Amino acid sequence: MSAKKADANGGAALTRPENQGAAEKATRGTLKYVDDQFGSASFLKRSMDKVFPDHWSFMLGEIALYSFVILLLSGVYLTLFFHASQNVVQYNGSYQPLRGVQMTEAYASTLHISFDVRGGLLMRQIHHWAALIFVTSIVVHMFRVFFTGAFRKPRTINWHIGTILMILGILEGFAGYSLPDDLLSGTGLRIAYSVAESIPVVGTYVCYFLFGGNYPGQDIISRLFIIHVLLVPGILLALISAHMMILWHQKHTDFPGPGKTEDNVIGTKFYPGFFLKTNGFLFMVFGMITALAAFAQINPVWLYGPYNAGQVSAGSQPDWYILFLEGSLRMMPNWETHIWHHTISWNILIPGVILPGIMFNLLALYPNIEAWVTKDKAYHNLLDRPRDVPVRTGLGVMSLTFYMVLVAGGANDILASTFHWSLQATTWVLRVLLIALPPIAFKVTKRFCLGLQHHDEALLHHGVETGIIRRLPSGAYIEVEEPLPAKKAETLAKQIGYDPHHHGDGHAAIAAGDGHEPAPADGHTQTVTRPVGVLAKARTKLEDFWDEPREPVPDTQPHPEN
Amino acid sequence: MPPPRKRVGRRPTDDNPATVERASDQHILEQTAETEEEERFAELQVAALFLVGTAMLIFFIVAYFAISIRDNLGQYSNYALGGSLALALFAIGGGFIVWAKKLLPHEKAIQDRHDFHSPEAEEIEAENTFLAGVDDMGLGKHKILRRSLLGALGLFPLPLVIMLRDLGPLPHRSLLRTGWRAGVRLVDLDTRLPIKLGTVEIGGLVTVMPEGFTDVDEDALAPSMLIRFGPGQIMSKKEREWGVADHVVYSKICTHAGCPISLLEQQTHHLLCPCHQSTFDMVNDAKVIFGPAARPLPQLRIGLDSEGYFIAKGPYSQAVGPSFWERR
Ligand code: FES
Repeated sequence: MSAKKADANGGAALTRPENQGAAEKATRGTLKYVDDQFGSASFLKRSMDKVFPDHWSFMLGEIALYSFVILLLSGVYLTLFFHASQNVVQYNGSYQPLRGVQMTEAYASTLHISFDVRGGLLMRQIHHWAALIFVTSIVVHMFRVFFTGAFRKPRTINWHIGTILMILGILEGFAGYSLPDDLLSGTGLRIAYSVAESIPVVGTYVCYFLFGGNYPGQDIISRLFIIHVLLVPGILLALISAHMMILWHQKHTDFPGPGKTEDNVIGTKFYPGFFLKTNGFLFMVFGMITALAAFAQINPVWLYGPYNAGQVSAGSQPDWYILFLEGSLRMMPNWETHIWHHTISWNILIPGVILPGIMFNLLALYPNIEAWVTKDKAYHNLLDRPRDVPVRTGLGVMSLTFYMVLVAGGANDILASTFHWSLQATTWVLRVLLIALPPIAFKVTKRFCLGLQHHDEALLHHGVETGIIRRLPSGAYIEVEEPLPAKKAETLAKQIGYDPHHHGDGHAAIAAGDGHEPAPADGHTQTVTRPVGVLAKARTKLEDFWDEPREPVPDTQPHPEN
Repeated sequence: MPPPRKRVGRRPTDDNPATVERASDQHILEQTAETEEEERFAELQVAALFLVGTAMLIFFIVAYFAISIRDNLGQYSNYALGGSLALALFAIGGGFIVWAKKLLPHEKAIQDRHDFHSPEAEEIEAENTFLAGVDDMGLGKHKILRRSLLGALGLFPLPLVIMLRDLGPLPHRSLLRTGWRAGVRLVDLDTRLPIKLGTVEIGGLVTVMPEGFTDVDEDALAPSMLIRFGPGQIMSKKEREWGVADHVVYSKICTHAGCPISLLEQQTHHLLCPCHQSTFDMVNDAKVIFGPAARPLPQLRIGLDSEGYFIAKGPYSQAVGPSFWERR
């Protein structure tokens, strides 16, 4: 207690208390022991005092982090029993229907884990569910970061790292899905092989080196295994650490609100408040995944049977994050070029290699593109509401629509049979939608955002409609409007007045206290240069497009007399 | 002169050592605490949750030994182990959260954010130091040094890349090879028995492999389909000629992405690939009539041996399965 007081007094001449209990003595002793060797005390103090803002959407990334922990733990357990080998053995474990069947050791050991290791099935299902939740939470976390503009300076590099994490997560999931060497995963691998094979010039070499020969070869399972349990997890671990350290160093972003500015952060201290809560959340995520593993069956590989080049299991569906690729493969027209005794199979190359390449690159570079268009070089610690940046939100929904049509394409046979459409008609409709729907989604979203903005302004200026009608002395009727509660009004004023694209060139009014430095005082003396070159002109056009929808706000403060 | 950098905040920062030196810049905005009664109740709640967690963990251990994994394909064991573990985790997690929400003082802390970049003077110094180092090393001056270094470092990764060479054989001819040769018998994939003329019904489809195939399945391109059509159903002259008495054999490996095809529509004689729904017209040289596949399925020339069993009359005349660069 006395130490705390001294701290509050400005840190003058701190001493350790005289009579310490055994526990306190041990704690102080340990901390001192470590500090003597590393000088860690000031870092420790700063870390414990670090303030984390509260918002439910900030927990999405935590889900991803904790499911990764579960993946590591359950994965290590599974490696104790799994044999990554394509040697053929005869199965004689507990699962009757497959007794006596020839299969690879990989598949046999997966059956062994499922039926002869107590808790093995649980671990397998925990591992698979955790993988699904890992990828899913990463993707949803990315939505949050995208639609709130959290990727802007200074967090652009962390966004790049995050994108790589997502791509690696998908690859890791696919590799793990392939390891049991069942009929379903074998079909997936077969298609992956064909996609790699379609790459011009080097395709077949890539395949032969990866698989150790023509499909399926003898090596792919053991090679995928080491990629799945060492190489990719190693990179994931390193990048997740970097992701977290950058977050720690830069402090978390927050939504605008009362008292919040660009250069403060309001919330809970890391220790003990946030620490306890986040640990509780860790256990909750563990619990949720375990409950799913206990009661929701996933990937029952024993039903599919061992892989066999001559068979395919009907109605096979990959994990959801592969569906968009499946859809793009299905929707692609059957183009193929033959030139000079060579073949380019566009029907696989475009949907399987080029399209995902473009999609992932655009996603990774979006922050750089946006900053280039808006010429926004300012630091941003306060988040945007999606409605306040209609073009970005529109672009996000547009991309999402494109993606969703691809996913729907991955289920075109199910769509067709459910609604009794012809398969051809379904595919053609989806092809048209893939081109036509995204621009419509953009327009609609942008309109919707602008509508919400107007609604907000009305709320702020005229208050809430109470439904009470009053007759004025003049005889006219009016509806009584009540002003917003003060706290709400303040938040809303902040959100509206907060101009996320102010970049100091004098054409945007800035609301007081939004944390931006006003334009340099000599801003108006800067010579206006006309854009030269195609690129510069395009940039100016894009910037106009970006800023166009922002309509003048008559008065960002609520009327005082209300 | 470079344009002034835009930066967040009104705080002067470049010469404010306090922001660097201060170990902590956080202070408490608001703080409230529960009444003593509320606190006692919360304590009981947390303790109850932790107790439930303990009980569930004990249940898990008992269930591990008590419930046989042989019953109902291990489902009982899975429910018991997973259910108890999940409950234990929920209880412990819930305990932590109630503890944090009810027993810790409710406080809102506020903390300054610091500038992300260094003071300009420091930035310039770092740049200068780096460039001075480049100067000292003489990379600009010593041309030969620079070029020889580039050569050495440029070649450095090569041994590592070359050592990957033995990961697999080079593609070449093996891309085109399947187990089919002239004279080899067709055997049923499941029964492994050769097939005699007349044993397949009209409209029937049998998956066949070259006789003597192994389970190791080195040859995943070999699976083929023996289909028997009704008299006069086959439209293409070439298709008829390559078959025997309305029996024809086509590769089973889809020319799109290599899935094995299986679904033959009896009325239309269309064959549908389950993977991406490429559809082939099987009485018309297996032409693609729908879907992403670009090429018809290759046909295998078949005949009969002296005992009346189906045999291949030669290998496939073109590459089987998906397209690749070297395919003509
Ligand atoms: S593999 Fe047959 S349609 Fe794609």
